[in-house]
Amino acid sequence: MITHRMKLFQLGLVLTFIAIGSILFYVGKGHDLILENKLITIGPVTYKAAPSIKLIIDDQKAIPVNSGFANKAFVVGASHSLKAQILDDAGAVIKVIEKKFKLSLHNSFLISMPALVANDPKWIKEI
Amino acid sequence: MTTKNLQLKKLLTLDNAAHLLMRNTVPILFILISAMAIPLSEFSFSYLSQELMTRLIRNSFLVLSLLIPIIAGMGLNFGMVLGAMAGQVGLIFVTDWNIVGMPGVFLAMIISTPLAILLGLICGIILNKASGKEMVTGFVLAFFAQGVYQLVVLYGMGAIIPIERLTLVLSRGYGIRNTVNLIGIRSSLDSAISFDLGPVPIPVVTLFIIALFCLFVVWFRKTKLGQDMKAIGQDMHVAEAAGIRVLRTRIISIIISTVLACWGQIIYLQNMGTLNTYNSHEQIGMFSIAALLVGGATVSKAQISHVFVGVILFHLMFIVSPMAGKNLIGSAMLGEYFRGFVTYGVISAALVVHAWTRFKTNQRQRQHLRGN
Amino acid sequence: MTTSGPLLQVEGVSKDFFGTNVLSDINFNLEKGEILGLVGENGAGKSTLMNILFGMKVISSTGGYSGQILFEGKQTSFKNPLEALNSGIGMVHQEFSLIPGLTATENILLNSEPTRYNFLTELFGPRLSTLDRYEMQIRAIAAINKLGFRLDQDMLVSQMPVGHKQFTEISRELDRKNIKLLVLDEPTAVLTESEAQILLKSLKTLASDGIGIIIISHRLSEIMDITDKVVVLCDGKIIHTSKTSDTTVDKIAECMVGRSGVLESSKAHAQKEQAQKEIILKVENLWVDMPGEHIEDVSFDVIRGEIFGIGGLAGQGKLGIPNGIMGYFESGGNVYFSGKKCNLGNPREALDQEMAFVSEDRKGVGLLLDEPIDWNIVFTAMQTKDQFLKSYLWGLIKWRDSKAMSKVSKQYINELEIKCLNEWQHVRQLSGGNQQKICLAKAFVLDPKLLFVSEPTRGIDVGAKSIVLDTLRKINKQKGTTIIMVSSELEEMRGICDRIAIVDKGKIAGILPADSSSISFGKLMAGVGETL
Repeated sequence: MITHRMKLFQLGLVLTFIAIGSILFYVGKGHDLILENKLITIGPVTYKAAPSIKLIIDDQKAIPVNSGFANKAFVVGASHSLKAQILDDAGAVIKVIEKKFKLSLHNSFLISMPALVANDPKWIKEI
Repeated sequence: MTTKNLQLKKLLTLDNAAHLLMRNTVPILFILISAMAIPLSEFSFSYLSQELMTRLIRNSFLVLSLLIPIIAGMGLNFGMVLGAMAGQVGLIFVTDWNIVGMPGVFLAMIISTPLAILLGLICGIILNKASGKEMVTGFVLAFFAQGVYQLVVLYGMGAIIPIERLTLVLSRGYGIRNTVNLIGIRSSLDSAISFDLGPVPIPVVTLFIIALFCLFVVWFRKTKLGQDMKAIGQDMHVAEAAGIRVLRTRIISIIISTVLACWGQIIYLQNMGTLNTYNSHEQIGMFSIAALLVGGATVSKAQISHVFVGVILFHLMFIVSPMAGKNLIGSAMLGEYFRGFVTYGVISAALVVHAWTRFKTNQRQRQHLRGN
Repeated sequence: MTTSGPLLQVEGVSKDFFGTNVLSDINFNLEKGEILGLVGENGAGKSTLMNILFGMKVISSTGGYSGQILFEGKQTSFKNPLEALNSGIGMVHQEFSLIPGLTATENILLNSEPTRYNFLTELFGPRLSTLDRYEMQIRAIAAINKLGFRLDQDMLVSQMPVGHKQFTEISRELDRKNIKLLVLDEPTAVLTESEAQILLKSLKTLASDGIGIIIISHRLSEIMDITDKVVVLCDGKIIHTSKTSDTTVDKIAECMVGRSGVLESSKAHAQKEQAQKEIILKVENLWVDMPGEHIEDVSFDVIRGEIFGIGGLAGQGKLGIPNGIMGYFESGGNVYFSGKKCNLGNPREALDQEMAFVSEDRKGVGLLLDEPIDWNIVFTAMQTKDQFLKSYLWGLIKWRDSKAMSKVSKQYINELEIKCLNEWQHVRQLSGGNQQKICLAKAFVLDPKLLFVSEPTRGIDVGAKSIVLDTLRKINKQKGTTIIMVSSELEEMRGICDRIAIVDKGKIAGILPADSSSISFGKLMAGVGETL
């Protein structure tokens, strides 16, 4: 005997699970980040490779992205922060750029070091 | 009070001690074989405890899922393979979407549950039609489901069902690869909260989930539904005459078991870290059932203790026999043969012993009707 | 709400199963608080009447019934037993409806357990509520107390002695809040003397509380003891009904057993002159474990050349005797055939000793349904006596002798008037009566010294019946074959047998000459007769 009340509760349960599922999807989505320190053309502007950078994403270990090279990182979730430590030839930190960013539900993103340094709004894009 | 004293007295008579021995032949046999094989394998205690803990958390949930159908008189649920398949489909999707960590595991559970419910429903309906021959039907149904699974996963995925990450797909363009690396969710439950007890890492979250399940089984037995299943498991006709909806209840027990097998398979795979797309679910039915039987359960009676005792003993044998074989005869292959031999052997033995004890129990009950 | 009229009114109820009248024009009333005894041999229609009252599917699926039944003044039309239960009619069957692995309490409250609410019932339904064990104990004890019997409510049913099971079963009906009518089918069959007394006393108490009770029983002493009214059914008709105080055991026994429309050939037959009274079969303390027809302790002698009948009500054990002696079921005791002790439990040995058995289970034991007639007729003879075989190579090779088989088949087809196309027709295609004739032919071919026939005329038409009985008489007279005939048709046996034993409760209640009065047989069957 399935009463109306039960049906209502069951509907509520299903909706709750869909909601939880969506949250989990959002929270657990993993993203591959390609960190490139190469020549890049965004729109009309072209940026040359930036000096070597040590990139710290959230609380992870620093990732070296040397001039002319690329590296990759992996993050989980939507909102993140990064700290880019721009190095000089000796390896000392000249400048630090901090940014907070939110990722969409896409799988991979490209973070361009030159664009980041030049503060181009499109320093991060989906690929 | 008087009933308990009577039961104790009964226990102490020789005839009933023999009967007790007979009923627990399988676990006793296993303890003996393990006792011989452990020293032969030359494994250290710490290694064994580590391995056993791993296997315990990996398999317990799956074996626990077998309890409810036994209560309802459906026998050993060979159809749990269908639940495992549902869980794997969920994991494939989660891996494709690149959802990692604990959210990935729980999301896999959420999306595969409706599929598991559907499969459980179909399985339950078919098993109802094969009343009296549920186990063999479940066994064959698992084979059939294998075919359907392959149709979906080997042909449908990538072709009709969109798969984003092409690393998952075979080189021909559709169909999932033979092995899927579950690196995203690997050990996510286990390592979430974990501490070391000596050499042994204790995964707290997984153990917590298993403990919750045990509590669920205990609570379930106290509900009206649990009581109805117990009645049906003993005598379907009497239950029907009392007004219990027998067919519907049996289906419910299979659905519950299938869903739990689905979750159990996800837990199993997150521990393993790799999904053998077309093989992981195959043996899980046999191994889980064998483990339960090794723990002393029978086709008609199973307790939570049987689950844990069984998993430990069964997997102890698994861990130890290849090395014991190698040290004894020089061939580790002995271990492999032993595994297969033991698994099928113990299931056959349990089924034969079950049929024989049932016959004997009937005879003993009729004893008082005979003259002299 | 409460009607002043009778609790139960049965008016003009009749039922036929595909043309065979099983009940004809049954009329009786039951008042509140009255105890009615329903008496009759099995096959008289008692179970059918109860099935109608309870709305069992077997009635509606075979064309329903005519007449009407009024419960509390309202016409009943129960579509299933559950509806009857909910209206306040409870039934305690002979076969227990109990779950062996549950306690008495759990069985008493099966599917009507009191429960405690929890949130999950909102989601998945009322069955997820937990059982209220405390409340269950209270209700179980209350129900048990109504009976006045000391029952351990925590004992598992599988460990209970049989009498306790019966009381548990009855308690279950008494637990129901609105029980108004209680039907008990042979309630004292499995009880000891003292237990039966307790039960009868509690039934009287229940009746004084206003519950109507119908007791189906053949224990006439009990019927006389507690009932207010007696209804005797025979061949589907009410043959006698009166207030218990206005009738006697003898009258009831006579009605139970007496028949109308008996075979013409079964007139009193001449007593055989027994020149020598040689005992061919001596049975001592035989017990047989045949499910449903259980024999406890039976002793009797059979004289060579006589036709010995074994009768009694169904389930009392008569069918167990030939099945046990011929070795079909587990048995024990001493059986001597022509002075030699028999090893029980070995059908082959029994056959070798020239005993033969025509089983009541025609299709299960008597016939190879998918084989032709001639195979069936010669089968046992071929297997046990190497007859109908042609042997070659000094006995190394044995072929079936089709010619001999055909000859003997034709002979019996003629003698027994078996209706078939030819001797090669498959037995499955023949009617019940003709199948029975083939079973008999099979036994006759063996030319046994002692022939057991179990329910020889069950389910066959009148014409075939007389042929069967005549053939039995013939081989008894011409070949001197001793015949032991087990049958529920007492009148038939009285027409052909020399002596008849009546089995009651797994023991012999008495052995009487066939021409003894119906009343004496009736009383033996009802457990009130004088023992031998």
